[in-house]
Amino acid sequence: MKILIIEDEPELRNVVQSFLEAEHSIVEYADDYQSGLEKIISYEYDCILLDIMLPDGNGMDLLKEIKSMHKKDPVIILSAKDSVDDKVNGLEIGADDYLAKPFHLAELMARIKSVIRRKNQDGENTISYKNIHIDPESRIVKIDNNELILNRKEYDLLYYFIINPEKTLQKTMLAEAIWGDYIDQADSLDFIYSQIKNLRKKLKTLNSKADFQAVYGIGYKFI
Amino acid sequence: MKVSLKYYTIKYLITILLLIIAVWAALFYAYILDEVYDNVDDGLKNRKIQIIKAVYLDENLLKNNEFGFNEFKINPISASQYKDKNNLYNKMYYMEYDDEEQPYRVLKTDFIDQFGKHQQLTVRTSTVEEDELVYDLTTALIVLYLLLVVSIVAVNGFLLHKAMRPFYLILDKLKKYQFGVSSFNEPQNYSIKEFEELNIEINEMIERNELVFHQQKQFIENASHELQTPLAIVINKIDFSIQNGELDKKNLNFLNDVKNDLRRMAGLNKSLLMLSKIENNQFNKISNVNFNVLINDLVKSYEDFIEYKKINLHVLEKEVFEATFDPDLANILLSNLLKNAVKYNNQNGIINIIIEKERLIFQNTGSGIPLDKLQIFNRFYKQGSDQGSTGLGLSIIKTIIKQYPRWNITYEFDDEMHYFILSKN
Repeated sequence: MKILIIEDEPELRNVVQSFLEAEHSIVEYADDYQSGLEKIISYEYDCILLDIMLPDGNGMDLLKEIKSMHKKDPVIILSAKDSVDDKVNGLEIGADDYLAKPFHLAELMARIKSVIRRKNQDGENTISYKNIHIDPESRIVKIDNNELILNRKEYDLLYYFIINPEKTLQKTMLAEAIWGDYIDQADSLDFIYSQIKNLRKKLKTLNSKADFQAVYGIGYKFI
Repeated sequence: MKVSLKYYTIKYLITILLLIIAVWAALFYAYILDEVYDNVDDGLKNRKIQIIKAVYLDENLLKNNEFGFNEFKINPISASQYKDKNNLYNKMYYMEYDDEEQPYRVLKTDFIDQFGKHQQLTVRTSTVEEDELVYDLTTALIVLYLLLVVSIVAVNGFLLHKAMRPFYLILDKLKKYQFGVSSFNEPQNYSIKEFEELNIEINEMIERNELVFHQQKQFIENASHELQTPLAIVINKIDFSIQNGELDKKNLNFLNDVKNDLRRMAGLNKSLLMLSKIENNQFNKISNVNFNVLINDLVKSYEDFIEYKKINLHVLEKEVFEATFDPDLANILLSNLLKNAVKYNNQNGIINIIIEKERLIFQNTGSGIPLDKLQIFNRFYKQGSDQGSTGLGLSIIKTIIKQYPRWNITYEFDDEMHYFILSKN
């Protein structure tokens, strides 16, 4: 994956870059509007991470530029302004997703993979890990060739683990990713535990080769 | 006691006027009285001369020892008693006509008759008419005073009404004034200089205050906003360390705790940002919101948690609650109320949401201790040591309600149940 980060805050850029590179992505960056625009004109990316507030311009304007060039590169807006308006505007102009700072890196990964998958309609659509296959389009989960019936929340949960396999996913992160603002941190921990327990039971019935591994006090790994 | 401007001035005018008129009346009365007696005395002195002249012509008059129809008497005195002086005084005498004592003015004087004998002459004249004059005068003064008071009250009322009209207009505008809603900008033409100045000064003061307040709110918004980026950096750095698997379990747990605290801080920051956005009027879309639909949608979103806690939830839709509201705010409002009812509920608890035409009632079980009515809507108020709470949820609810005049939210505790009652109008 080739990813462009347009972000003026070097520290944030560095950590996102290190994380994505560890995930075997090629990462380029621009730290302002102008250099961002030049990079977008010159190259093609699998995903562009775009900050709204840039020292010499607005990310929204840059997004408009990208769209007026008929570039197909998926764009995820990263904004410190968690405002509904920004989100709606960004998505209307043509951003593929919107992520408010601060975000979890695993969440960012999931979003990047989602937008890339959506853009590659023609390619392979299923995501697989071991003998589990997920078709995000139809939300069908198959283990080997048997369909696993999951409810909406269970599917969402499994999707995060499949996107971030062999990674420690924190309980708080999972709760926020799936239930958003509806849950408070304090309530989430036990709740995630019971959800994982259910999901694990269902996976076992179809002989899944992957299983959740509890990372004590933190969360779970899907191995 | 507080009295209106009108009565305040009238009160003082009447008392001061009463004093001035009383002093003036007393002086006037004394002066007139003096003048009247002066006249009477002059008449008496004149009569004295005429009587003495008459005595010289007719010695029989010397025998007039009692007051008769002549209203004078002459009594012989010894030489030692003789005083060459007019003695004037008031005295009461019996009057047959009225059958009672009546006031008289008396002149007593001594003279030497044509025979060289000392005589004392007493001349009197009735002052009944003069007393009536004084009586009339007093009546006139009282009437004058009353008339003055009545006319002053009328004039004062009229003048105050006319002159103070701009004052009452300004007062009225101040009463209707709402922060952030500038109704003072329209120029007013006041014919009175002071009120013109007052109006200008108030306008300037409001502008200054609003500017300061706005800057303050802007500052909070900017500060929370600026905090998001460093928070994001730290959180992501910790995330990265946790993810790359180089840490042992102890450090992993430690970092995880740090991250959770940082997330809490970010959540707090987000809530503050939300509060300041609500206060800055950044949610100002207006549309007709059906709260019944919204509540049912939200209940679905919370289904998992409600089920997880085995809470018995009922939505009792007696009527449709509709209002012109910002849809995002309505969502935040109801979501906070519902979240509150779920979060502070017991395992196997109860939530009842009662929807009436003008009221929404959220009723839930929870701690058996009533919350502090006066404080629960304050920022950062927490009952006991509540770890997961920002202490801003209810404050956000209150702030939203404040954006809508005539809306209200109250808290009640009854029969082990907590009630949050939202009412419009």
